[in-house]
Amino acid sequence: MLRIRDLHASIDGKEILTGLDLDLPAGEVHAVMGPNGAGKSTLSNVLAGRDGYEVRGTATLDGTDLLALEAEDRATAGLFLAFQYPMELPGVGNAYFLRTSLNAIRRAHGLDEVSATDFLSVAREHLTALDMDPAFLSRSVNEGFSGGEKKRNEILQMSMLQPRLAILDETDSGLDIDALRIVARGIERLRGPDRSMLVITHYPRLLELVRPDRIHVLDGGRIVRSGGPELANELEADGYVGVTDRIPA
Amino acid sequence: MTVAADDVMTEEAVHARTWLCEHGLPTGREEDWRYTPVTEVRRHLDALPEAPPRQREVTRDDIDRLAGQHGPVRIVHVDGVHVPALSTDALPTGLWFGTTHNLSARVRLQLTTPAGDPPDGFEALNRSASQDVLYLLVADDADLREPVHVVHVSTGASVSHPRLVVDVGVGGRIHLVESHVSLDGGGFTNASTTVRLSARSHADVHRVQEQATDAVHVGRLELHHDAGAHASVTALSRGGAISRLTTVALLREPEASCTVTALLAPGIGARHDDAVTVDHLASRCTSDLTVRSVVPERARVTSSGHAIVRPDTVATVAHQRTDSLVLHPTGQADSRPWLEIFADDVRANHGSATGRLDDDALFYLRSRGIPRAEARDVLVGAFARTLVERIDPPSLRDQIAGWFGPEGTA
Amino acid sequence: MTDIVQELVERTYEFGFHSDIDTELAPRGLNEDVVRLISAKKDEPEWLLEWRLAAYRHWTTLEPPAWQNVHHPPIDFQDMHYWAAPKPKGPAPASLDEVDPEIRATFDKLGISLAEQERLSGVAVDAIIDSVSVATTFKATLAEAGVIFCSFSEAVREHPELVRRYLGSVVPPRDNFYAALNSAVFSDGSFCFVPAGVRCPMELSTYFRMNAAETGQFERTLIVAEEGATVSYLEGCTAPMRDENQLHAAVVEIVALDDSDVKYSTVQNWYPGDENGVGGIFNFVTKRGRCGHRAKISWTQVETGSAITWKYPSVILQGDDSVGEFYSVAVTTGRQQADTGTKMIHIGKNSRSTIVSKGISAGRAQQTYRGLVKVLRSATGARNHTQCDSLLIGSECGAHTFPYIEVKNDSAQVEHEASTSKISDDQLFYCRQRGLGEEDATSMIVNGFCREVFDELPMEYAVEAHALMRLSLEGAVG
Repeated sequence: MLRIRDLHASIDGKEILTGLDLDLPAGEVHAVMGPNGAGKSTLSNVLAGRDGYEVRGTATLDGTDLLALEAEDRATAGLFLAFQYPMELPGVGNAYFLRTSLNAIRRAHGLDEVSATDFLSVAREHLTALDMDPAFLSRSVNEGFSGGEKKRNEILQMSMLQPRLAILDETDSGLDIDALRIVARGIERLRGPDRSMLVITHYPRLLELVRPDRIHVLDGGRIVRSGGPELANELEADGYVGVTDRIPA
Repeated sequence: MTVAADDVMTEEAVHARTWLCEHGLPTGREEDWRYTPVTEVRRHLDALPEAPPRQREVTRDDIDRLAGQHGPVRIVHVDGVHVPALSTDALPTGLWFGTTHNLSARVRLQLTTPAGDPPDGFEALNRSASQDVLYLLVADDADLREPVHVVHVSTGASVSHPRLVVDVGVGGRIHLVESHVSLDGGGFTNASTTVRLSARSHADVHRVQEQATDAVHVGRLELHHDAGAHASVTALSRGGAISRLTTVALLREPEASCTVTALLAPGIGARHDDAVTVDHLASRCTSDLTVRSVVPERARVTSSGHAIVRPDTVATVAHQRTDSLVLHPTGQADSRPWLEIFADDVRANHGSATGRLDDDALFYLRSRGIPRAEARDVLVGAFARTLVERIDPPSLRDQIAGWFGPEGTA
Repeated sequence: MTDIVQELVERTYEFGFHSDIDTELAPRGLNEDVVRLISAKKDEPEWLLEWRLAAYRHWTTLEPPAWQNVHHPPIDFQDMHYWAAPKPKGPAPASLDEVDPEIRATFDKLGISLAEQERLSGVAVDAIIDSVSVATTFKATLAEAGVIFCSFSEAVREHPELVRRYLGSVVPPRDNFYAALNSAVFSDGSFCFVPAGVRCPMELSTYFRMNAAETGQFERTLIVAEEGATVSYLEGCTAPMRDENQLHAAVVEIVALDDSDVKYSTVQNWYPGDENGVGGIFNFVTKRGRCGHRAKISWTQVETGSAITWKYPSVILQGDDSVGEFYSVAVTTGRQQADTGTKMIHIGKNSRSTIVSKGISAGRAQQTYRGLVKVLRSATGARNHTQCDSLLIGSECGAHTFPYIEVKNDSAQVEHEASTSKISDDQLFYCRQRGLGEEDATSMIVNGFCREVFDELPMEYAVEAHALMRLSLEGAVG
């Protein structure tokens, strides 16, 4: 499903991704782990189409060249990014925002727009399933939300937009254990044969709750090691330095 | 008013005199001066003799008592004239000092403000009438951490035009403490200081205005920043029946920055007008302005902040914050926090709050047995303290804390 | 963003049609004879003619103000017409049905068909084309409640004692250059009187529109709410496209007696001129209200039009516990210039005011917020909170914030917060990642930025404001 080959990305002349290869088949959940500055957030930004990077290499989603698309077109193509730092949009209602997003994606697929009433009933179901307060919907997008609320709001959006590919950028950072469980539940609920997920994280903690099919270690802007879920234990025990040191020359 | 004779006048002074004859002093109708009681200032100016009738002897003890001792180097200016006998002889390496009288015309020309026309009539008057300009030069990369203390003394009921020019070389650093004091009351001081900051240089300027309660003080502090230069200005004003201080920072090259902090604590019935302009003329410049004023009985304090962000600049950050504490029903506080922005890549904000002492806090202290007047002093001290705490050197910090009673630094 | 700004600059004015209505013009220029002519045309009483002439004579001693942060060539006040009336094509219409079909069509294009209004919306409209009020609806319903809502000329004829008592009581003829000019030559406008204790049964609305070429429009609006009365008043403005600049110098006075509540909402979408800054309305307006004890005046404005806007809806908080509010959204694009804001003058004890100003500047526009909060010595316990935010779209525009805060009472609490920034790239990316195009994303963020103000508008205007905002920023994105 997601296929990345020799991906390079620089910002202000500084190369962050230095030739990254990655394959994420349909239905699988992969984790990308790595130390600070390894290029984890750059990877998610570049895949989602943030401006400001100089990018070369290829990245395709179901054969579609992602890098040729605008950010919004990647979203309608099924790519969802759960932000590490979700933006506050003062004055923009959460429900309004989410419905606009949902309808933009539906329009792109030739589907009818969802009415406000239908939207609300669907949204309530998702809120209940995620154990979230319906008052979420009437607040401005992320404005005044706690760190945990912002992350849960990302999971709610992901849950409603039903993406083909979800990239979770350090969604677990700064969460207490209860919020972490909600996030994990959201991820588990979305697991399915047609959906792939890339869980980017610095800590192995989330991977105890969400068991990935594979783990990739990102360092110096490329994948330096890949392995099964057991790699997480190794990372826990030896840290990134230990794991990356053992790469055969 | 009379003006220094042509033979000692620099070209700058001649030009300023011509300009002044054409434009005159500002009036209250000019936006920049609408909160200054210009008419009273001019009346005061006209009533005084230009030169002191007889310069009263100023002693070292007088200076210690009036201005304190804030560093190993002290330079004393009495009624706008340098007095070597009261000044330090030995200067640290990297610091050079001179006056109009011992400077060659060539050096003087180099040091003359590059700008053509004076920005206003008081500055023009200062340029044309200052008899003995002080020049401080900091060598490239010289790191003068010990404060250089320049003391301007007004001896009494006369007009003086102290003028100081500081030039900091590339990568150099100076800590300047400038004190304005009065030996006797009734004087008029029209002061001007220009600090030129070469690339990557750093200037820490503490400007203390503690003149007699019946004096009139008009001051200007102008900063010219080259690339990456930083200035930290702390203006502390207490004296004068009327005090007007104009601070202008020209961030002319990229990555220049300045912080301006002002603490205004006029006496009963006094008028203080503090106007700060920061002009962001290049990209990636930052500025931060903080003003606190304490307004007693019948006093009126105006605080104006004006941040300008010029076209085609990027990544500008400009903050302003003004807080006024009015201590008496007859006190008045005005603020004019302006933003003038011609570029979109900017983060600018200002905040301003005006109010009196918190009744609940006052009651809380009194309920603990502290008498009302003392409780008031404690709270006023607390209001000023955030700014006072940052003052350096400690000797000056203690001196300013003393303005707010014994609790000032508590 | 450059393309966006380009498109924004190139947006065209949707309401730029021109009606072919015969108009009757006064000769060009202004002198005492023109003032007398206007007064005579309107069959005014002697006292009003004298009032106008006094204003005119004072005006001749004044210079146009120059302190605003706007630039335009000097206005030749002797080179315009001060009177333009649609020529009746027969006897005056006795009812809506008899109104000139061209005029009706004009309103239809504006989307405010009078018939529609009457049938459907429940909004009473006093429609003004150029200077004469052509039809007033809902008079009957209002009359039952004791509310007078009519054209200014009619008020002069039917209720001279009320007009005489309140005219100029808030904005005196000598107040400023344009107020003096308006006082001398005002042609028509709206008059509204809500008697003591009456809650006006419907929203009152005036739709202003300028039609004739080279005419200044000088309307005069006077709203009086007696003790305990409540009224909500809506004003909408559009003008056809023309190459010349048209001058609009209106005066709005609000008298809010004790315990009354007046809400005045404006949606202003006058022709802003073309992309080169040719044409467009000069909108120089004086709006002011005076509050009695416990009275409240709330100004809400959404300003997207005019080449130059110069207005400061103000409140004199004379009564104890009185309340003044100013909620404003101003959008300037192309080469528009706006210098707008408010004055809150606190005189009464415990008077309170709130100022929320949201400015959006795009293209090569320059926008200035200018505000005065003045707390006089008598205003013990006064409170003000001001929030002033500017959003910049594109690197060639400007946003300026010039507040004046003067506090003469130590018990007052005055707070001012302001910010200026561009739309954040991070916010845009966040929206785009959720599938929104750049234009939708920008529009959504801008509407969110303005929400506090839109929330203050009556429902039907809030919808219009959203649409206007979208229209103004059309092409701004995507």
